[in-house]
Amino acid sequence: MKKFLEVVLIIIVPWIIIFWIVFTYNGDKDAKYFSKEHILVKHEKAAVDHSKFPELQKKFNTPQEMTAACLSCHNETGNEFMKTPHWQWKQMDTIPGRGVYDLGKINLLNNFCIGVNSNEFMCSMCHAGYGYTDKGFDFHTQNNIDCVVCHDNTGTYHKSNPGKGKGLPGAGYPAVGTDLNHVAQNVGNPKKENCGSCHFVGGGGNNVKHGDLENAQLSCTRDLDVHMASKGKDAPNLNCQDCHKTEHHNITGHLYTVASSASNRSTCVQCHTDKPHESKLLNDHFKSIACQTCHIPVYAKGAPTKIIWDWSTALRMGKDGKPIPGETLPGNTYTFEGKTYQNVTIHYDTKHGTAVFQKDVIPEYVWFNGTANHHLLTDKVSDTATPLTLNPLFGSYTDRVKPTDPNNPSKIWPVKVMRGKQPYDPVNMLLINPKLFSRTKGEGALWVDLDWNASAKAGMEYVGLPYSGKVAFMKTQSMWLLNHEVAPANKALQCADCHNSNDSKLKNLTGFYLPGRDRNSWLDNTGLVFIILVLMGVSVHGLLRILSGKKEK
Amino acid sequence: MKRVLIYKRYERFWHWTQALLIILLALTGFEVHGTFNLFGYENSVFFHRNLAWAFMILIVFTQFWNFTTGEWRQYVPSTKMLKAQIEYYITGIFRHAPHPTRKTVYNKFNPLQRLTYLGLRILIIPVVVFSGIVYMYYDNLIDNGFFHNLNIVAYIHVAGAFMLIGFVIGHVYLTTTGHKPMSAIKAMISGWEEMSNEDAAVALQENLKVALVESRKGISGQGTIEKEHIFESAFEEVVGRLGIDTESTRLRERLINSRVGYFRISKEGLYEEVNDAWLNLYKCVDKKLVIGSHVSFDRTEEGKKRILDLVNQVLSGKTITGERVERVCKDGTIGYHTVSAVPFKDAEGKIIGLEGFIMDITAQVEAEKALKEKVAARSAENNFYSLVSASKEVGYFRINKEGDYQDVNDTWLHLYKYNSKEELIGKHYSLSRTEEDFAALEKSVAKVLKGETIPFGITRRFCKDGSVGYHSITMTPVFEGKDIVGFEGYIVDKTDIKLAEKELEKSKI
Repeated sequence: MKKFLEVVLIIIVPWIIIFWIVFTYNGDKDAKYFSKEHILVKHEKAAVDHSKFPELQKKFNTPQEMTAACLSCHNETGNEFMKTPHWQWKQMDTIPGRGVYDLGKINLLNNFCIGVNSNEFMCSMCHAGYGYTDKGFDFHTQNNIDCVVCHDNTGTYHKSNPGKGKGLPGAGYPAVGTDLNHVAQNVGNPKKENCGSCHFVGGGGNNVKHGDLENAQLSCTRDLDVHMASKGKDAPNLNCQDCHKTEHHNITGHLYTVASSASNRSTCVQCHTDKPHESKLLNDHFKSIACQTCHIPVYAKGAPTKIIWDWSTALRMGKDGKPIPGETLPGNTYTFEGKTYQNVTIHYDTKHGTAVFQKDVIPEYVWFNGTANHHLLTDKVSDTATPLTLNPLFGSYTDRVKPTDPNNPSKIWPVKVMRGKQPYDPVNMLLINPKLFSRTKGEGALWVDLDWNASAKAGMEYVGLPYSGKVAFMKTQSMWLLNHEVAPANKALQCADCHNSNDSKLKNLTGFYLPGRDRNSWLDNTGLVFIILVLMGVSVHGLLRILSGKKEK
Repeated sequence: MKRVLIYKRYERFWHWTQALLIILLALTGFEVHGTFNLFGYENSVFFHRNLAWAFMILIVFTQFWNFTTGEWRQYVPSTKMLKAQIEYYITGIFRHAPHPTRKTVYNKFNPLQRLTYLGLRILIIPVVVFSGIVYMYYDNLIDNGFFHNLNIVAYIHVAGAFMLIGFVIGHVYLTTTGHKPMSAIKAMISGWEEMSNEDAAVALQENLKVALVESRKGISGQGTIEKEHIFESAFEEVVGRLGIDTESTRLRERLINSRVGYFRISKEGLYEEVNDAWLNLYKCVDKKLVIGSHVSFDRTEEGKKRILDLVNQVLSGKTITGERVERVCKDGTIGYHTVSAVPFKDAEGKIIGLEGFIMDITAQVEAEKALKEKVAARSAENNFYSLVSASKEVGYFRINKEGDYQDVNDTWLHLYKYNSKEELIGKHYSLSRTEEDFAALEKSVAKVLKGETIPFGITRRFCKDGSVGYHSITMTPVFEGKDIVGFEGYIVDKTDIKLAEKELEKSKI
């Protein structure tokens, strides 16, 4: 009994104590943990009632008159606003390793509608100004600023879409019949609807371009977007500028399809700090992983987003010999560049070619250090066999040049990769900036004349670049970093989503060791063989002992 | 078959805790490695970290224990018998040859184990632990620009893990090669290893010898604390030889308080080394006067004969324990002690002297002598009372005809755990006995009251706090003129010996 008690005291009791501690102690608390409960968001009430200002009572016949009235009080705001990319559609930016450039929509190509140049009359329905019909637009006339597209609080102000009908105004003018006085008397800080009127519908429709910015965010639950949610429990109902902090009309936030440097960014850290988890181990992940990687496990949760645009199939006519106005092709899979995309919707129309849409898209992951390169209009295409990335993101596992913190290496980010085929000049080896839109036939607009050669000729002439007369198509892709549609914590990626040997989310990112995903198969096999040999050795030895024991008897 | 104490308590705690830690580290570790799913990846990561910390703390404690107790010597590799041990596992074990080496508390590991465990301790475990620490703090290391190669760290860690698993398998299998298949595992749990009688005898003798060697090493040092430690281990060997639990704190304390004297004597009978306790017992202040003097110097004629006889016994290879001898102290007084001694050998195993230790029993012998005198006198006039009642070693008592206590000394009070005489005087002696023991004692008391003096032998006492102890009791009548008015006597505590015997009984299967 005493012996038994002794064994209990020196083995069993210590075991219970030690292993109880081992299995319950949480040594992973971050002392600097900053709970999101501590984040304060202030929404200040407007200090003035614009409906009482006499300047806004007189009848506005043109939107410019309305802007003049705004500027009569806000008399420095025009200068301030005219410095921003919302007006200039470009900004001075540094491409690491290349130099300083004026970069923006105005001179970069994408693989949606390709380029603004020669198509301004249409494109400028998202320009915060009036009359941007072509490159001759005077960027110095303050009265052409469209204040109310951002500051309208009535929800009645919309820009006219010239593509919707022959007589409709374009170049950024308001829709016919807009009550400018009503709008002007009800201005205030921008709402989601104001920003979303352009940013949710880029690329020609809801959520087409970004994939993580869509009309659903105007009224959604936390499941779709924890920040913008206005419905359901604990909906914070944030406005865009709660994160995209704005001073003097300079709105923070950088879109790397049109920008290059790691400046003026809007980040998670500005509210959440870099210690948003109780777990230190999770916070340490921030050294290598952007918040978005785990917290945006899926995007395009409301409406499908366009993931592939194949311009090379455009201009095919219907059986009746007439342009196909737009149809959904049968099938829900699409193979492009050898990869098959599941659960997609495929659209075709003669003017645009083939478009592939997907909803609830799983992001792809890249190393990104906060800077990007760009394929400039004048850049030569060298390799047409592999897809050309229009905005290559800088960064790699070993990269140590850093965005906000010079000690921070690149991080893994989630991206939407937009893929497609677009026209290029196989002789001059330049991507083509096609003219797409016009109101009149014969100007070379693709959507009117249905002729690639004419479109390319007109577009390239407009930007002052040579054109050989030959159009071919090449694969391109653009990288859209995901920042919105952040999921609730319980829907974020879990450890084993990446730390997993079978189906890691990061299986395409190689060149570094990821615990749980990677192994040295030689080492593992050798270890296994070693253990099998030991087991065999002791089995044989034991068997011989048993046999020799029997003989003896 | 006998059982011998081999593993100390800390050792057993450490071994089984480490065993479970390694198994759980392997399970959680290979889950983190992606080999299988068990606890869930996140749980495994945190369990693995906590287990790792527990493991590292255990290593620190154990290395501390190893160094402070000298156990580290067990890991010093030796090629002696290495070949024999390997041959045993390859061929001998199948022919039922005896183990080439024996397990003792001072030499637990065979040469192959020494080599393996040393390799584990200085190579595999450090590699796994250090690669694990680097793995854990990898983030901080890359921040400081050390390196960017987690894969190398991970591969080393995994390779170490495979080797540890291989070790565990082999280790568990080899535990079945003891006296019986489960002997080694049972020993690791209880501390007591089953051995054949011959093995046990050798193991015990080895334990005693090594204890003496250890004691000798410590004696050149200064200060009493270090020496107490030596006596402690020396004592453990004495009781270890009896096969009792050496870790009883109470026994150990008694030994230290009993002032064990250590000595070493050359083949020629000259003192080569003695400790302070020895010097105290002999009342010699200057060690220099003792070293080099002959063992028979300053003894009575009778004592000379006896000591030379004992010395010769040991020099011929025998081990003696508990022999009672008389000593003549420097101041001319005479004392008594028991002596235990073993041969002292040189590197080749030749006997070049003897060493051992002595435990004082003077008080007990004095009491015996006083009693003899009293019995011889057969009268009320004797100094038995004054001699015995003042003793710090033996307990004195006087009880009247009716059986009521009349007097006891402080030692008696101490043994029976009473605070003062007043608690007892006038009370019947049955209160210090259990019922059954009282019946036996009553008969003896009747004889004493008729005039006999009897040594009752070892009896059980019932202490104030309800515990029991053991002592030998000697009773003699108290005279008033010619009448017997009661009885008196002395008790010598034998609790340690009694417990030792009981333990010995228990350890015999």
